[in-house]
Amino acid sequence: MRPLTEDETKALFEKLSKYIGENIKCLLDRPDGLYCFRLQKDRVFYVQEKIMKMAATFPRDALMSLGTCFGKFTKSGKFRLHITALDFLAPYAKHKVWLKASAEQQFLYGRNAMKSGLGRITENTDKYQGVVVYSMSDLPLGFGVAAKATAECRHAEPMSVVCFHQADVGEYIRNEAMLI
Amino acid sequence: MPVDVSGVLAQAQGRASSLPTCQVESGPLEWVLDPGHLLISDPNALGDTHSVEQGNQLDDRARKNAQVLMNRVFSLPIVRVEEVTCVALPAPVTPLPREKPIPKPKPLTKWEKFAQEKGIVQKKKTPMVWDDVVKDWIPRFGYKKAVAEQTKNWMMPYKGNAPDDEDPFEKAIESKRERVAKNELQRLRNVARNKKVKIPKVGVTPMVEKQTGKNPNDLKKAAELAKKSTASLGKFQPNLPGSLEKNIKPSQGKKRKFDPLVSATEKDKNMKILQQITSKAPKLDLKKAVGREMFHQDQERETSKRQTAGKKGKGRFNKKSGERAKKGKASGRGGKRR
Repeated sequence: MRPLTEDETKALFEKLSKYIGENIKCLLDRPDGLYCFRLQKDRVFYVQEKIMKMAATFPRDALMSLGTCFGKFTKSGKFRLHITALDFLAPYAKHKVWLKASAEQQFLYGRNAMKSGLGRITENTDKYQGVVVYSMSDLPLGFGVAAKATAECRHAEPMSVVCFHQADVGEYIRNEAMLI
Repeated sequence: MPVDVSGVLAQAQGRASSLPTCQVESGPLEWVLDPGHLLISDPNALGDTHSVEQGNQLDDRARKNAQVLMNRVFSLPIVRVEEVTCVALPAPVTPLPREKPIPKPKPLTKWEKFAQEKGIVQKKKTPMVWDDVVKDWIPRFGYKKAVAEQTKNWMMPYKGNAPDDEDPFEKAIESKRERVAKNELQRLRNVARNKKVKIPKVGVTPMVEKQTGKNPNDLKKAAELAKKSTASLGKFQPNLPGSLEKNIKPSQGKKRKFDPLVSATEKDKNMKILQQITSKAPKLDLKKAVGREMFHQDQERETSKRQTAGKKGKGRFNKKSGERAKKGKASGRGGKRR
């Protein structure tokens, strides 16, 4: 376990800022205690400092997880967001997409969201903007990337892709081993 | 048992006729034969179909051509070489390309160039020279000349006012050695000139110093390099002898260093990085701008529609019928389109 280097921090923040913009500040500066990002076996964990200090007593090989896994660094140094980060990112999300009940299941199986399944979308969402996907009952379902800007969505065909799938809560069942 | 001769003959004939003949007729164009190379070329055109038939045709053509070549070879004069029957092939006719490229002309040496410019032509020297002392023909060069020289020069006179301790024999050997060395130097100079290598004109070169290892700095550098030149970059190498080891600088390589696990400055550091990321100068994103514009136009259209609908809509709640209000709405829309 170690703190992130500057490059790693940059990569992480750049990815997070796609979803929550400058709200990353809210993650770093919390009233309920010190929180930090730590790297363990290529995975980035968001953890309270108190817990991190306790975890530091374990040898590296024995430590499986601590705090919340936000994602992992690929071998080429890119950061990949995991669905486990959803609980922390959803409240700060800048751009959201709501899916109709009929399209929910498709998304939870790892499919891209179609225009036909699009319930609502935040205004002023740009193309390729990171979005948090919600169900119509405001339950966060996962992450995505807007395939079309809001204005384009209105004129899009019903079967055209509106939101690319990035991660969804279905992964808790599908990819249990990968998520730790 | 009686044998039907005619039947057997007929059978043999039938078998023979089913086999391919060795008498082959040529196509419209004659073959070009070069038995010297055992080469035959068939200038007749092939059919232009790509099919199984074509393949069979090619097989047939190849067989026929080989047959023609064989016919020619067997018509050549036969020679017996150590109980083996051979054929005397004529001289080949077809010119073949050279195996290797034509050698480049040798670059001229300095003397050759000079001679060419001045028009000096070397005279052909006879290989043997008459020697009056030995009374014999002696070769101009070579070991026999050296032998003759030894017998001739069994005694050498002191020259002029040479010092007493000088040995003329040794002096002769020395001068010969020097001439050889000079020639070698000139040869190397010629090579260097032709290869366009820069060489100092005169004097002792620093190269010599390096080669002998006399420069103490060079030696130090070499020792340092040699120590580091292992698979583990000299980590497990024993120390060099005292003074050398002392002078070796610590390795210049950058070591990976991570921040301590717990530090008070971490939060500030992260905030700084965040500041850097969020305060990037805004770029003009054309797609984004177009998207925004489309969005605004949509909004405006919608609000204006709502306003007009609201104005006309008042009529709906008036005493007048709803039908008229609807008409008005429609006309309003049409008006906007115009």
